[in-house]
Amino acid sequence: MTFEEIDLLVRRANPVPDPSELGSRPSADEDDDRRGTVMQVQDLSSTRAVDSSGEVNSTTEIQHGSGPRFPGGWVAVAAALVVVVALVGVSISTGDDDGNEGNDAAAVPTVSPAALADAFVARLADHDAPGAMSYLTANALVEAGGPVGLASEMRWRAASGFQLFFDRCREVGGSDESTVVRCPYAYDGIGSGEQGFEPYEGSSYRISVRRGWIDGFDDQVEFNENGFDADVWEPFYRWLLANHPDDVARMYVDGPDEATTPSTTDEAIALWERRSREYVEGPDPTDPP
Amino acid sequence: MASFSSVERRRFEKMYEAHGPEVLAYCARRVGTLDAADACAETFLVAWRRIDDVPRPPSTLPYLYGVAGRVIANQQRGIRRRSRLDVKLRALGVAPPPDPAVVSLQTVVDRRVVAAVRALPPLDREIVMLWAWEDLPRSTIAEIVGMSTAAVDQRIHRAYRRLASVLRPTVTEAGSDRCLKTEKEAT
Repeated sequence: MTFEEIDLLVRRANPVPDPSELGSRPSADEDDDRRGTVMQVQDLSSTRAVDSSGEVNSTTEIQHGSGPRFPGGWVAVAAALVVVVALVGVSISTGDDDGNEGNDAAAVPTVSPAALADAFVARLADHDAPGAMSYLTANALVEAGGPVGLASEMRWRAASGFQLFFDRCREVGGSDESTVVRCPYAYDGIGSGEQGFEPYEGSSYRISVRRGWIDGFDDQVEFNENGFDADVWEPFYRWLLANHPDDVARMYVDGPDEATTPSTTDEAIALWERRSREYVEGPDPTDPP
Repeated sequence: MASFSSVERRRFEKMYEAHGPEVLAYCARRVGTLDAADACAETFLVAWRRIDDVPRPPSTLPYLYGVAGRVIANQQRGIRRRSRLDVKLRALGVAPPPDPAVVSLQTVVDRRVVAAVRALPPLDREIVMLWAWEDLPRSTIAEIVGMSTAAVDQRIHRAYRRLASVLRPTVTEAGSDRCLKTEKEAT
């Protein structure tokens, strides 16, 4: 790729392409064919609280509208800036603090299950275990392997080069009390991208949302029909057997007989990181044998 | 609190009007929405307290970017202190979580590019962001990071070579097409 091609790619990926949008709420009529639906999710984990009755008391505001990327976020951050400037204004002037409060303090919480799931899977894609946990009920967390299990799983994914590319989550069913959301994704893993393979499609998370919390989720990984098993998983395992046979039993819970389930001990994760990198890039001369 | 003249106040207000959006965007490109608001606010508070040190245009914006960069670095250190588990995960090289609003809007290709940019060494990453996202000339970037223009140029080229090795050529065409198709189908 040329300098210009990379430059264009990086510029197009700018998360905040147009600062002039700051403070302007996009109208419903604005064209959205470039980036799709705009969603503002103000750090769900930090704005949620549970009241004494156990109900979720969310102050998160989600906007569905149209326009370029991120403009919804401007409303919040611009508002914060206005507060700061106002505070500065109060501090530098005398006698203008009349004690009035703004009339916009009581924001109505509206969090759609799909938006909540979008935010949750964004944390998963970023291997952000604490962030992901903040969306889960205790029961869902236990089912996910508890804090240690979930964090270990994400550490393993990060170590072995897994990247998840999510499309937007969509409601697919549910009941009066809970909503089921499906979040499709493609993925790279164990250096598949570096080897020239396209992201592997066909997987999805099914997420159950109840009263603003995720009370269960299921990762439905497709690895057979999309070719990941044949392209990556099996070749890597054969390479491992040929080059580092002693590592197999340490890297797989069921190795060397089955080798379908990776181990997530600290030692195993360190090995996954080293071996998957070596598999793609060749041996690192600074690594111990 | 010390008293401030109306001249200083007007200057601050003009500075905020002129550069508030850029500084906020700078922060938002590096941290999440709420953290960006905090960082931007803190940046202007620093600028207000040190209004006499703030250089005149055209050096005002680079100065504010420099302050914002340090504010964000402090902010990130504070975030890292919040949780030992978080510290462990970040020690593994996991990039800081992007704002969900940003993530939900990016195409697959964009996400991959952003992830690759975030995985660059810190100084290279900052220079690339200032170059491609803040759209600053090399000379201004040199002023912000305290390097020569030639050194900045080298860093950009080196970082882009690194990005090119990560982002394989097919991503540009196949990935973009796939994403656009997906979004159109969804609407």
